[in-house]
Amino acid sequence: MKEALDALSRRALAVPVAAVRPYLLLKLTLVLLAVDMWLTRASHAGRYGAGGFNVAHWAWLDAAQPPIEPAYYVGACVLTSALCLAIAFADRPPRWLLALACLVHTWSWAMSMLDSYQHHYLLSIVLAAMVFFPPLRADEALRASEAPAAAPAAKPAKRKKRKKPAPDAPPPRASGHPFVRAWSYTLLCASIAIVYAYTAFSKADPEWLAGAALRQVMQYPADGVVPGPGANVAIRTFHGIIEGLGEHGALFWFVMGHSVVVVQIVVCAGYLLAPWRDAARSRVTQAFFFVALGTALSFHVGAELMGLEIGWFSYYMVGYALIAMLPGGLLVRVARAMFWLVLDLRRERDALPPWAPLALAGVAALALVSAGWTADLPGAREASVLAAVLLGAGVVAALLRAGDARAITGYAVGALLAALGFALCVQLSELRWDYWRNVGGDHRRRGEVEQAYAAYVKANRYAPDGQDRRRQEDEMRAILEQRGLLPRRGGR
Amino acid sequence: MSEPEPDDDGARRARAPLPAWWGRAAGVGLLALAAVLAAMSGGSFLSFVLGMAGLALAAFGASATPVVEGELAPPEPSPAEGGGEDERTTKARLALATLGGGSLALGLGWVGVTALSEERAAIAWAPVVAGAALLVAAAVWEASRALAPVALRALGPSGPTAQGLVALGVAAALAVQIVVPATYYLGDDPFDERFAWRMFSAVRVYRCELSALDFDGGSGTPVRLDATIHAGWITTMRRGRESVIRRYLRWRCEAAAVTGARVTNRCTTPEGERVPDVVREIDCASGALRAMEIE
Repeated sequence: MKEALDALSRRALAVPVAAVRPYLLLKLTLVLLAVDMWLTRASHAGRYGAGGFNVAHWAWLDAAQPPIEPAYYVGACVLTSALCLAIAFADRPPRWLLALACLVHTWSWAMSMLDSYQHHYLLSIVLAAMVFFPPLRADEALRASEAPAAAPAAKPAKRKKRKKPAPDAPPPRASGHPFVRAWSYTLLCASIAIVYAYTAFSKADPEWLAGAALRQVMQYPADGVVPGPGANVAIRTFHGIIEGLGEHGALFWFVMGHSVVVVQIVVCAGYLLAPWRDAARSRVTQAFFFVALGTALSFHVGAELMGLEIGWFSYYMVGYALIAMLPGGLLVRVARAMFWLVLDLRRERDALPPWAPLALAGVAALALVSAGWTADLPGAREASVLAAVLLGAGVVAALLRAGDARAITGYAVGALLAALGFALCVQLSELRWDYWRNVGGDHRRRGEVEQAYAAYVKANRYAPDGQDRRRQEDEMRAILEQRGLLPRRGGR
Repeated sequence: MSEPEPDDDGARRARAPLPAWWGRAAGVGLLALAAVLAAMSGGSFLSFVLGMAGLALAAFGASATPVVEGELAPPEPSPAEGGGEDERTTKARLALATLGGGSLALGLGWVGVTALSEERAAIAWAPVVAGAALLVAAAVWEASRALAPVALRALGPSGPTAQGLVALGVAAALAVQIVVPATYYLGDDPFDERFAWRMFSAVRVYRCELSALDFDGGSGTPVRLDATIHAGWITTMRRGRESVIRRYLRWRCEAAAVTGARVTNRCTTPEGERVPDVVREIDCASGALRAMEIE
């Protein structure tokens, strides 16, 4: 039993994988999620709790959480982003901080069924697995220590004696980069494989196999092959192919419906095998990883080209496929090029005077509060103050633990970037415009004229050229003037 | 996690380290504070987030996990030492791969034949899936039989207790991830696709019209849904999300002076076929909910 457990652990659950894989997966997820929260999610906050109606994903959550309002959703988005970036730049973040980011993110979608995007749920699974990832600094993940490098030196000579590798010969040791035994990485790959497996299963539905559902998703009318008005370049290309097929056009949809299932099965198999990416020696298995990678990329890039409304799901999955299935050596070279600045700065950190991390943390906290204060979105202030307080608590904890705040440097850099990033997103994107015009529209539909007017005034402040809601603002103002709730314009 | 850690430079400071339990104790304290705040104010963003922080701290503690400095994983025993595989095992693995390849080829051929004859080929996918699974199993078997020595930054769980706990934890996590979507496919509510990994399903692309009535004793009064709830909920109810419709009906009883309420969903498939209308209604006095399908 003891031997069996040990074999299971060493050969299946905690297989050595290039340390760069979990390292990059963590960084990619945290940074993408932070920006995702600002750019694609916060603008939808206006619908949360609108009219006093809300349904959480689980009944127990409805009972436990406070009555939902837009400020809570914006707050959860801003706090998740700040946590993600602070953790992404920290040297070795403690597990509880990642768990907190996972919990707040999970709450952001679970608080209301208005958010039923399945990739938000997938990201919670991904973050939960990452809580158990080995915490590594850039130099630990990308550079092998010098001590053990000489250990397997006998192998090249062994290989020279044979014309071709014997089936039992151990694989050549990937030199120059370290490995980790991480069961959480195996769990993460298996979790993603489960997603693809169920997607394949669901696409084996007769309507998918016949292509009828796919035709609808791609905006083709049921009774013909003419693209709908919203069709983009990819769909128009398909249209050209179908026209070329003439009377066999229906076969195109049939083949497409079936090929989607094959694609999901291939990618699922790729993720099931991914923990053994660095251990597999069979050339067939090695080649299969490239097939699975190509299949995953073609599927997700194709989904983006077709303009399917799936948020940033494709970006996450393209990143995960590249990290899980590219050769470890190549990934390390790419990562070293990407993180050279981090690797260099890390060395300089120790030369910093003791007050420098404290000053940096102070600036970051101030920047966070300023970004939240000027965002003009409900909940942003509270969340940014909370993030700044967390950073302050981190400084106190570092001082208590080591008498030195140097360990907080990475968190402070991340928090500063979170503040700057949020401020930039708020200023440069249409986040506030989208938020306030949607709030205005919702209040207007429900006859809540005062709230609609206030929202439209704000929306017009942030409206892109030519898209303002002046007419709606004037309409609401006129009603309020009629009711005597606002003084008439020029009638003073 | 339980040992006091050096700081992240690896240099121990002269200061006496904090006890290992302080992080967990702080977590419990935060949880208590969140409970008090929630009891005093009826719950707020602050109390909820404090509760989550407390939960995370109490579960994991505050210590940073140590990293292994360049340790070399012990090499697996060589075949000569009895740790490799014998000829019989190699043959078994090859047989597994051959069986998988054969099943995959057979399945793909079957799917192809049904595609040419334009029949529905759902069952033909079974040998494809079985073949792929056998091939993956053979590849994992091959890859895991003798791992090369490598420089490690993190070791896996060591000792039977830790290994057993991790194995159990992973098995439980995967089981949950398999069972939760399975409840959808084995259940009788095709419209609640939330955790089923069923993106752009045939059900989702149904075209539906939603209408609602309020009852106050006599005949029903049509409800302007877009003037009552957010448009996002109308889309969700149009997709037949049972829990949202039930909540809406209960909410009508609480929020409006009515004796009952009804929601009707009329849908057509992507191919344009009409499916039976789904009607759900509530009697506010008893709170009883009723669902009917009307052809």
